[in-house]
Parts: sequence; C-alpha cells; structure tokens
Amino acid sequence: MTFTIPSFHLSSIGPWLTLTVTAILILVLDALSPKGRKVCFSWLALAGLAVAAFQTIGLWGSTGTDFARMVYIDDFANFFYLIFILGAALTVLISRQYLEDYGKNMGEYYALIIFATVGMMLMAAGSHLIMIFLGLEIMSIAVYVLAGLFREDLRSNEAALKYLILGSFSSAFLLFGMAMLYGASGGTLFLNDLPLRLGADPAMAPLVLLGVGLLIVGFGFKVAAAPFHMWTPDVYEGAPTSVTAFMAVAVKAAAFAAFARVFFLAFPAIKVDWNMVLWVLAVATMTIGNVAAISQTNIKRMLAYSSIAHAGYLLMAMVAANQLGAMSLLYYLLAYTLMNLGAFGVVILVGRKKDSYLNIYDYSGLGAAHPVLAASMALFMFALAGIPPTAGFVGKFYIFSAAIQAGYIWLAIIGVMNSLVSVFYYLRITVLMYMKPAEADLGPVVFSPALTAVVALTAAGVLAIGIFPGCLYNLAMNAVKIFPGL
Amino acid sequence: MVFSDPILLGCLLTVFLPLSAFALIMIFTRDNPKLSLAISLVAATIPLIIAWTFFFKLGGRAPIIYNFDWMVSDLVKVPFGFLLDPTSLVMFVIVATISWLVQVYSIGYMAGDPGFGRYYADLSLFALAMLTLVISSGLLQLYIAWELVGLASYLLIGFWYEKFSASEAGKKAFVVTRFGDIGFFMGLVFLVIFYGSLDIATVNSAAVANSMPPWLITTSGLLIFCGVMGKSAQFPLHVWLPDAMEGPTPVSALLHSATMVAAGVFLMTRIFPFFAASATTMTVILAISTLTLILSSTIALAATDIKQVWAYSTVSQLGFMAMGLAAAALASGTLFAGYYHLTTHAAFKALLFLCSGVFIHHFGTNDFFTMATQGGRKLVIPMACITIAALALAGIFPFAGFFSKELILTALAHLDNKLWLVLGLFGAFLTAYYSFRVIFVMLFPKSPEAYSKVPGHIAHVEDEAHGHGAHGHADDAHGHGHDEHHGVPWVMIFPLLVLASFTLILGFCQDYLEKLLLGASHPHAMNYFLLVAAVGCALSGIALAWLDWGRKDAKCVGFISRFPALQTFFIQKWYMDHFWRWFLNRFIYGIFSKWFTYNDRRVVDGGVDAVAFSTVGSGRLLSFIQTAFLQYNLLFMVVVLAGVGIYLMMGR
Repeated sequence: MTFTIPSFHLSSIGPWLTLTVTAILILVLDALSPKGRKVCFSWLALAGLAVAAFQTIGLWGSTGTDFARMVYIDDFANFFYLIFILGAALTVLISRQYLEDYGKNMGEYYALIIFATVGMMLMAAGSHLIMIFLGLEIMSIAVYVLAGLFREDLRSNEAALKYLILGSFSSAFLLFGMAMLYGASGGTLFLNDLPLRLGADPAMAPLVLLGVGLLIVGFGFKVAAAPFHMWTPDVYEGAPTSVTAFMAVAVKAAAFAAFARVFFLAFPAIKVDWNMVLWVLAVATMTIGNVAAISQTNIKRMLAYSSIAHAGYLLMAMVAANQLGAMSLLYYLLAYTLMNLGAFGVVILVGRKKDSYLNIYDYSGLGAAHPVLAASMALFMFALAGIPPTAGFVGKFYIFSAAIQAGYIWLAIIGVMNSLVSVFYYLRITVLMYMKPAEADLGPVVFSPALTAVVALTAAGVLAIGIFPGCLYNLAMNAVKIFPGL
Repeated sequence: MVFSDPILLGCLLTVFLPLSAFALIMIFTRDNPKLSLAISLVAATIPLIIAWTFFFKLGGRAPIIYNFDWMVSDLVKVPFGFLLDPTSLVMFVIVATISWLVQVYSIGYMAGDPGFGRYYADLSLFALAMLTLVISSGLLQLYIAWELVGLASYLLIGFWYEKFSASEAGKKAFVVTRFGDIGFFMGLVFLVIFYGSLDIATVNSAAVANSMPPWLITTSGLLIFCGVMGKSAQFPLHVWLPDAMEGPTPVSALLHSATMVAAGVFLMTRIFPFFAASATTMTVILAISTLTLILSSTIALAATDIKQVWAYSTVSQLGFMAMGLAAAALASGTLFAGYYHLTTHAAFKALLFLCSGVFIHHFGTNDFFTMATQGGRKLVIPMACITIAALALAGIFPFAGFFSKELILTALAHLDNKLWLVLGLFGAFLTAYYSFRVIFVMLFPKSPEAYSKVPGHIAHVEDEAHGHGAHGHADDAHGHGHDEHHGVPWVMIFPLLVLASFTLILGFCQDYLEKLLLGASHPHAMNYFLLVAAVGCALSGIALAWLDWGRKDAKCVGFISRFPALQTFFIQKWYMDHFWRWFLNRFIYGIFSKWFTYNDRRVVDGGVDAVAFSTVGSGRLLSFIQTAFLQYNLLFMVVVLAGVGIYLMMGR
C-alpha cells in the first residue's frame, strides 16, 4: 500500500505557521526564563502578528486551494486574516498594563491569544467542514482558558466553566450537523462539492435540513445569536476585560467567517429554507440584545448585550445573502473590531486598577476630567449606535441596503428601529460623561502608552473608514466575488 | 502626489490650517490668549499668502479643478474637491484678506476679554468654512461649508452668551437662516434626483447647453435662492442680520457684512449660468431684492444705533447686488456688475464696521448721537476712514462704490421695465441720506439737547453694548474708559488704513477685474443720463442729510418726521419682527410644536417608558432563564433546535 503525499506550498499557510511558531516560542521562553524575570512577550506577540500581516498582504490576490484542497487561498480569507490579526494585536496592546495590575502578565496569555488567532484563520480559510471544526476547537479551547485566566476570581471561574460547558455542547451540535451532511452528501465534507452532492438525492433532503439546522445552532452559539446568547452576558462580565474584548470582536468575526463561507458556498440552493430561520434569529438577536442592554448598569454587561445586538445586524447581512450583504459582513466586522476594541480600551482605562470602576455611573463627569478620553468614548458610542460620519454608520448603511436589495424591507425596518433603541443606551454613556458631574473622585486615570495608542488608533480608524469607505468597499467587494451563488 | 502639486497643496493648506487652528485652540490652548492668537494668526496668514499668490498666478488661466470622488458604494458617489476659477479666486482673496485684517484688528478690540482664545478658535472655524465654501467644486461640499459658516456665525453672534440678547440673537440667526437652508437643500435634492450631478462646472455647462429640463432649473433655482435669501438676508428672511450685530464688532465686519452674508450672492455668481437659464427665477429674485433694498434703506434712515444703520445698509446693498445679477441675467448680461459690487462692498462695508468698532470700543456705546456729543470726531483716522467708506457707500466718485453702483444701475437700465431703474435710483438716494446722516452727526455734533427729539436715541450714556469685563466704565464719570491720549492701538488702525486704500483703488481696478472674471473687458458705452441721475441722487441724498443734520441750525429730526406714520413704520422695521413673532406663535408653536410635543410625550416617551417597564418586567423573567443552572440553558437550546428542525421539515 502506498501513500502519496499531495504536493503543497507552505507559503499558502504562511500566517498560520508564523503565528504557531511565535506562540510556541513564547511558551518555551516563558518556561525557560527564570522566575520573576520579565520577558516582553507582548512585543514578541506583536512582532509575530506583524509578520503574519505582511505574509497575508503578500498572499493578497492569489486564489485557489492547497493541502489537498483543504485550504482556500483567497481574499475572503485574507480579509478575515487581517481582521483577526488586527483584533489580536489590539487585544495584546490593551492587555499588558491590565494584566500587570493583576500580576498576570504571563507568557501563556499571549500564546493563547495567538493560538486562538490561528484557530480563527483555519475557520476562515478551511475548505472542508472538518477543517472548520478543527479551527473552531483550536480557537474555542484557547478562549475557554483565557476566560478563566484569573483563577482566584470566582466570576472568572464561573465564566470559563459556563463557556466551556455550553461551548462544548454547541460544538457537539455543530459536529452532529456535519455528520448529517456527511451522510446526506454520500461521504464528502468539501464545501466545493457539497452543493452538487446534496442536491443529488431528494430523499436525503430531511437529513440535509437537519444538518443545516444543527449548523445554525452551532454557529449561532459562537456568534452569540439569540436564543443561544445566554452565556454571553455572564461570560463577558466575568472574563478579564481584555479577553472579553477579544471574544466580542475576533471570536465573533471568526464564527461569522465560517458561517458565511459555509452557508454561502455550500447551501445556496436551499437558501429559502435557512433564510427564514436566520430572519427570525436576526430579529430576535437584535431586539433582545438592544432591549436588554437598556437596563444594564455594568458597562461590560452593556457591551455584552450590545455585541449580541451587533450579531443581529450581521445576521441581517447573512439573511440578505447577496454580494452587497457578504461585502457588508466584511466591512462591518472590521468596523466593529475597531469601534468595540476602542470602547473596551476606554473601559479598561476608566476602570483604573483591576477593573475597579465598571459601573456606567463611573463615567459621569469624564468629559470635564478627561476631555480627549471622553471624546473618544463618545465617538465609539456614536459609531456603535451607527451615527455618521463613523464606520458604524457606513456599515449599517451597507447592511440595510443589502437587506432592501434582497427584498427584506421589513427586516431593514426592524433593523432601523433597533438602531434607534440602541441609541438610547449608547448615548446614555455620552450624556453621563458630559452632562452629569462626577459623583466621587475615582482617582487618576493611568494612561499607559499602549492603551492610549489603541484608543487613538481605533478612534482614527473609526473615523477614517467611516468617512472614506470607498477603498475598503472595493477590497471587500472583490473578496466576496468567490461566492458564485450570490 | 500632493506635494508635487503646489496648487493642490495650497488648497489643502487653506482648508486644513484653520481647521487645525480651531481644534488646537479649542482642545489645548483655550486658556492661553497669546498662544491661541499666535496659532490663529499663522493659520490666517498662510491662506492669505496662498490666496494672493493664486490670484496673480492663476488669474488668467483656465479653471483648475481637483475632484475626488467620495465613494460610499457604487451607487453613491459624491465629488469633493476644489475649483479654482476667476469667480472663486476673487472671493478667495476677499475672504482671506478681510478675515486676516479682522483677526489683526481683534487683537486690540478683544484684548482682555475672558473668551479671547475661544474667540480666535471661532474665527478660525469661520475661516475654514468660508474658504472651503469659496473654493469647493461641488454643491454638496458648498452646502456643508455653508452650514458650517452658519455654525461659526451662531457661535460668534452669541459670543457674549452671558448676555441674554446675544444668545437670543445667535439663536435667531441660526433658526432664520435654517428656514432658507431647507429650501437650499431641497433644491440640491431636486438636482441630484432629476439631473444627477452636483458638480458646479457640470451644472453650469448643462444649464448653458439646455440639457436640463427648464422646470427643473426654475424649481431648484428658486429653492436654492431660498438659501440665498437666508444667508444674504433678503426679504423676508432679513430679520436675523440686524440682531446679529449683538456679536463683537469685528465679527460684524467679517461675517455680517463683508464675507459670510455675501456668500449668498457669491452662490448666485457661482452658478450664475444655471440661475440665468430661468427667467422666472430671475424675475422673482429681482422683485425680492428690490423690495429688500427699499425696505432696509428706509429702516436704516430711522435707526440710532450705528451698527444697526450699517446692518440695514448691508441688507440693502446685498439686495442691490442681487438686483444687479438678476437684471444682468434677464437682459442677458454678465455677472460682473453684481460681483464687482460684492468686491467693493466687502472693502468699504468692512471699513465702516471696523471704524464704528473703534468708536464703540472707545465710547462704550452703540448710539452714534452719544458718540458725536462725546467728541467722536477727535479720533481723526477712524473719522477720516469712516467718511471715505460712507462716500463709497453713497457712490461718490472716485470711491469704489461709485463704479460698481454705476454698473448695476446700467444693468437695471437695460431692462425693458424702467421701474426697476427708478427704484434702484431711489435706493441710491436713501443710501446716501442715511450714511451721511451718520457722518454729519459725527462730524458736526450739536449739543446733546438737540438730539433729544430723535426717536430711539437715549440721551444718557448706556452701559457698554457688549460685555467686556476689562473696560471699567462704571466708575468713569465721563462714560468712557480710555483717555483720549491713549489713542487707538495701531493693530486697530492698520486694518482701517488697508481697507481705506482698497476703497480708494478698487474703483480703478474695474477693467482688470472684468478681464479676469469674464476673460475680456467690454467697452462700456457711457450712459451720461444715467451717470448724472445716479450722482444726482447720491448728492441730493447727501444734501438732504446736510440740511437735516449737518448745518448749524439743523433741526436734527430728519425729514421723515414730517410723516409720523411712516416714521413709526420704519422705526418698527416694517413690523417684520412682529410678523415673524405672530407667524411663529400661530403656526410653528400653535400647530407644529403642539402636535410634535404631543407625539413626543405620548408616542415616543410613552414608547420608551413602555420598553423600560417591560424590560424591568422581562428582566425578572429573563433572570429566571438566566440562572446559574446551565441545564436550563442547554434545555432551551435543544428546544429551539427542535423548533428550527420542525420548521425546516414543515417547510418542505
């Protein structure tokens, strides 16, 4: 019996390799470095991410598959690589001082962030359902550990455990769904082959639909779509703030990358079936997220619900299932990465040492005490609410246009109504910052250089891609050309 | 690309320097007057140099256009950029120069004001907006700048916001111009929907080539003129401009006489071919502007506040410019007459205001009768300058106003209906009268008792018109804080001299400007009848003013007091403020606000309350689901999955 090893090019998974090597290097250095000595793991992590970003840009424009058709090489994946790298890099930057305060500035934290990023890349580029599942697990396991980073903290523990149990459950759903599809397709899980194979045998239709339903549940859990969102507030509140930012941004982006790739590539033929389910999910997610966010007084919990609401808007783009919708998914996830990480950066800054001040009333009087910080926070809030000239507005504009173009007028109307509701709780932060005097002296805000840089960069980014979206529009539009069924 | 092209770099600097000055001052240096001043002056000087360089280097050349598509998606593309052609270059120079002069002047005028830094930030904001407006290549960009100019105007009028009347005046200006801007915006929307482009050059050439439906030109032309009416204070939206004089006097000189209010007229010249393509629009404009001219001139001859006189004079001269443009368009003439008057008016009206500013600063009152009795003419340079400016305003040779008024009257004479010409001449007569009323009172003051019968004039010294904390007038028995020997600071005199020299030489630049604007200078057939008529009107106005106010045994009540009803009518400003008050009460507050408030209370507030209450309620329900018991969560997921599965199966 002979095995033929298919030919492959390591360069096509260059970013993965770089990041994996970086993470291992960090772990080894961490183990070897004498106790108490500080090694700048964060810089190492940033360097690795930067190299990966360069490799991604080098891959830009190439198309095809590699590793026996297991990996897609296309701009859709590359675009998401950049989102993940950006998310991870910004997370690394906001983490350092924060973890230092907790005495948790350890190598494994950065290694786990990077491993999670590799997992996300697998999800975005996998051309086989098993690859996607592997990526999902690599990512999830790293994030489970990250959520429980503060071992002494009960809430962090609770968050990690809850996330682990529910996450495993949802992974099981996903895997089960894949198994159904495997059966229905007669033994293949390649995304390229699935559309033809699934349509071949009408008798298999129930199996296909069951598989699709299970996939929706699995992915819906990862993107925090209602009604599978129940873990989100507790986990986001309990996890370390930097990890929460990472989960809210990068994990969601990765889940959407896989979600979009699988559904747009493999199931365009049964669009009518899953569209309606996603329609309901989108409306439920938006509404539950926004309405629940109104009554939150903990800023992390509020942002958790806000992230649920944003998952709803993104689901709208999935429902639209046209070129514009797919494009808006890419644009919005990038915009969301910037605005949400910026907001979390401010949350860490205002929280001072060890998350002391997470109540929204702690933001009162910030406008007078720290005008620039308050202005940035106001900008992020405006962006999240979708007010021009920020990236959030353009993103919502694309999503709603996509929904209208696809004929889902009511969905767009519900989306706009939800945006209106969301303005309430986003603007409340702004009102508190500018129109309420500080209730007590909360001590000075320590502006560490990295955190300040994150807030400044994301604020500039939110404005820049909000005012000049044309360039990104073209990039994203080219990236979604890979979906012939749309 | 940017740095290899000096012209583009210049345009970008012009826009971004004032912007950064505004941001820097507002964020960092607001409490440091010296530094704020330095930043603002640098950001005003460089655009000034750029403006004059462009003017001389690019004046004769073909228009230079930079267009950058601001793209949102394939369907929505909006061009942004710069358009440098003679029309914009002349205005560019006017705005940059006067704004620089006013910034210099304000060093003296605003010295010691607690809001000094904020003042310069606002001036920078204005410079940013106004310069962008002038050199923008698209109408949407122009509109954005237009609104920003309105914002700067609002901030500057209400600069002394502790004073109720100032903040009210700012609000009034903002709201009244907004009425017009709604129309402007609607006009742009019409253009976009039915024509598809807002590029100025494209719109103009399309109007010339008749490739635009006539109804569209008329409709959107009239709508855009609404914006002009608001910004350039044409009847019936002129009511905000006199109130805007609550702002610091340099601001009145810059925004509310020379540049910002001229933006409306500038817009008309900017898309003159487009406006000219519809005779209906132009007739409406002609009627409105003529009414404005007469209305505001008559109000000006009864005012006692020196700034009010110049404010109404500004309104009337803006009307005169619009008349010139409309008449030229109707008689297939060129935009030169109106535009030329805009240029000369900018110089002499800014001069009038800045001179008045010196008096106001010195005597602490706005009432020119009081100034006169307290020895206003002892300030020689301002007195000489204000006289020069008044001569120009009245249209006396060889001052700038003579030439430009002559041109507009010629344009009016080309119309078939000579009524417009007669009204124009009447306006010129009134203008000469009211401006020399001020000059003669100032030059040949009588005893304070002589002015006691002037309606509106209050004999004793009022508190200073603006809220300077620095000038302590209260303890000064003579009512003025500065000793005569202190004189006037040179930073305030210097701009006066510059503007006075402009007033003197601009008249002789007519051919040069005409060649620049139109490409060729047209020989004018001198209409001697018109010349005599115009000069006669001006001189008779001055003579009447002399009889009423100047000569030794003048009665000092004005000829208008023979017609008490008319006088009251003019003093009450044609009851326009009363009309608007009634209109607001009756329609806006009585109908719209009432219903909107009802809607807000019942529907919106009620809705939000309902959401909040139900959130609290559902919070209880959710907290049951949201327990620490994971089993429930898992159970719920399975139930939903079952639901999804059933739905999918049933769908088949």
